[in-house]
Amino acid sequence: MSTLLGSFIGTKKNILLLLILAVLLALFFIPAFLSKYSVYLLTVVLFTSLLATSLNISLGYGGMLPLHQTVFFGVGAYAAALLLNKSPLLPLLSFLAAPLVSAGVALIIGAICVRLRGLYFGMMTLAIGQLVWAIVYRWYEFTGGDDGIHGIAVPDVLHSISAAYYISLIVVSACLLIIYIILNSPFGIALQAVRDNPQRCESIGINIHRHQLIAFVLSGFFSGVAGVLFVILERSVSPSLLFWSESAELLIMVLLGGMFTFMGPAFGATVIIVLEVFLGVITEYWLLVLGTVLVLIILFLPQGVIGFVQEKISAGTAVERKGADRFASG
Amino acid sequence: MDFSVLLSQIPDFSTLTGQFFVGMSRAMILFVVAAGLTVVMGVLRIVNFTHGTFYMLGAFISFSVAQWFGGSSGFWMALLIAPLIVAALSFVLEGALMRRIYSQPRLMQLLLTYALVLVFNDLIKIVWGVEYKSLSNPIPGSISLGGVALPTYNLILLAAGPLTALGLWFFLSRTMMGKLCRATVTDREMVDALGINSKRVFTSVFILGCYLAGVGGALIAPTTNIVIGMGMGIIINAILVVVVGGLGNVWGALLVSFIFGIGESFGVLFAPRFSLVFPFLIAATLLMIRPSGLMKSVW
Amino acid sequence: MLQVKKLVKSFDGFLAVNGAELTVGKGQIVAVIGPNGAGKTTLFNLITGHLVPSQGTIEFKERDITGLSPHKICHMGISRSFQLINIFPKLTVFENVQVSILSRKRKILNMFSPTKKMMVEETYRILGKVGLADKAHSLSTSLSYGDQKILEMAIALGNEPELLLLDEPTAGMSPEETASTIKLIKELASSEGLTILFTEHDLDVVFGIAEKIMVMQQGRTIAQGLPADIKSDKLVQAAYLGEEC
Repeated sequence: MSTLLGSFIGTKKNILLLLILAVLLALFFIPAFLSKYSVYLLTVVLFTSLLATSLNISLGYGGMLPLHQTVFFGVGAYAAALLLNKSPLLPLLSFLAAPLVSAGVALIIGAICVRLRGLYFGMMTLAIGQLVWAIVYRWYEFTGGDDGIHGIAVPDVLHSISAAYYISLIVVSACLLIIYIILNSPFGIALQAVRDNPQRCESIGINIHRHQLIAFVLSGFFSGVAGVLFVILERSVSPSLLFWSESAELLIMVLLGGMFTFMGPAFGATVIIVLEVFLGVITEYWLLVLGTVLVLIILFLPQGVIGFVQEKISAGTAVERKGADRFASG
Repeated sequence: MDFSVLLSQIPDFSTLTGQFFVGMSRAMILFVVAAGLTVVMGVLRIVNFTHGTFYMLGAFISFSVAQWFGGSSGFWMALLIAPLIVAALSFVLEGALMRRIYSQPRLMQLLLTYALVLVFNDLIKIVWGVEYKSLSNPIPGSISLGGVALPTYNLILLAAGPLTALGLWFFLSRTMMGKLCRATVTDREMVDALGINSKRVFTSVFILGCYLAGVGGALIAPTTNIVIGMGMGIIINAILVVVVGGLGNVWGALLVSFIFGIGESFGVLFAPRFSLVFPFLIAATLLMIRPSGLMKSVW
Repeated sequence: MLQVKKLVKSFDGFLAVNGAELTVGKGQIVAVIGPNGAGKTTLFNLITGHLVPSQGTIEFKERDITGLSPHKICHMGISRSFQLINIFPKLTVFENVQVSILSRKRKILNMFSPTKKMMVEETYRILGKVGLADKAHSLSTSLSYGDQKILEMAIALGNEPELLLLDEPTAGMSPEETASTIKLIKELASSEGLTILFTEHDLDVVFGIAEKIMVMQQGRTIAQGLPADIKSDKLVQAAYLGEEC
């Protein structure tokens, strides 16, 4: 049964395409049947999925340990807010420029970090990320300090929740498609090779630092896009977007979904957000539940939920996970 | 008249000394916490986010213990008892959870300890409520240090750092258990092969580390508001102290705590609003210069 | 083609390579032999840039390549296989070789073409040559040990090197596998016009294919010459052949 399902998914690529199309169609028409709040939540799910997938470019596919990804999300959001409020730029240009600011910050942080390995890489991203947070938190004149920025001048046409939803749906789908294409391009395959065996990559002529840096910048760019979508939806930003615990929660989403699958992070993001909403209604201690569930998952399902399902499906072909394990422990 | 106002804004020598001692007192608490963390990270090789939670627990438990005993002796009993309670808790946690993840990928370790942070945050909310708690200063008053008034209690903090460093040094280099720790760090298989139970070494080290986190929490309790977020605040600084100082290197942690303390106390004078920025700026700069830490790392 | 002069590498005072000398001519098959710990693998790592020499020079095609980074040296035409299996475990056999070809053709920064359709012919040509074409779509780690060693070599071939370095290409192989690997190396050398530098423990293999032999002991080159001369060299016999054969 499980092998049957495996070959079904493996060979019938068209069915998968149809499935994606069906999901997109459903997402397109569903707001008509939902409350405003549900549409709002769906929008959050959409850009968080993009954020989680962007983190996974450098984490799951690039073999890096970025412990502070939401800095790029926050920088994108702040850049959009500041450009909209303080620059003469057209709103559309502000939206386009903000992710580039994130990519620029990622380029600087990445250039400092890519030469470091494993935990040291993570620590450096954490230190610099917190540095950015601290600056934003205290620079009242420019960033509004701990008050954040409210009443961001998002164009009127985007003020309705459904407008924010449709913008997010289009942008997130497009970005996920682009990320998918990139990860399956020669660049993406080489990136995975760098993750699995950096030494071997060097000796077949791949500049591993440059490769990882490019991946890191891409990852920062798409996080910035997610930040822009956040601004369109919320029209306010606060420094807590850049605090390290946000990144920790993002890591939870990615690991819950499984970081060696393309859709895993988006799935993890969806689950966590839905869980938060539903448990939040029942108990104020929903983090207690989340934490407990996490502990159980780490002890019993360390490869993530999607990873687990995939492993069950492909049990017949006995997927080796040596490379993954070697990377993650390094 | 204007002149004297202007002059008063330029930090004079006594303000500098005052700032220095205030900054150092904070740095020493950071060191006590980081020293515990560096031993845990050095021997067990896990990045333990829960360490900050133990620090926070130390503060909350101190509050309750001090209240239970009441009076001026309350705090001293708390300083004695609260870290022990934290240590006992860590013993349970190590046996039940931590030891299962020592050989897991690093990311999983990070995540498990972070999950525990979430769990404990809520548990503390359930036990102590959401309002902040505060403890009265056990030694009120201040002393004059070269013309600067320094709260007398800060002397305790200033002494706590060096005492912890000496204690750890004594433990690691003079006691059997300490020697075992260092042997386990160098060659775990060898220690196992000699018939020594490295599991017991791990448990002891974890308890010791968490005990120190509890001490840090008890020490800070009278000087600040005890709130839920305090663990999240200190843990990143403590991890950075450990990494920049060289993983597992107690003296490195002491050195970096000093640097953080000096940076923060003088940073406050020149750019008061950005004092928050300095530890991260210092850590990032030092990591750039010496990516594997200032002093020898055991990793 | 390759000139190694007075090469020294020290690790914290320990001299792993201490005065290695090596000359490899175009089209030659050259073996580096020596007892364990003689510095053969270190020498390879120095040539391919994985380690930076403390002293001495390495020239390739009359150009000084001393201290260049591995990926630059690779693009100049030196490729290598490793002593321990060193492949991409999560990629298929096909992809393992494909990545190498893509890198050689400088296509790895291409972000928008599907990899599936790229370099298919080239990849199959190499897989066919080493005899792994029928296993192209298996996961690389599902291959037998011997086949993984062959894949190791195929990855290096994907770079279309002029000089191929093989670090113990038959280590751990069964006698049959060893025999076929030797045949393969010989074929490659003649059909591709490759220059090959290899290390090997098995002296039968060495004297079977090497046209020239360099002998190392404690990091030093103690002899270099034709197989027949090496066999009769007193110094070599004392240092190496005497004790190990």
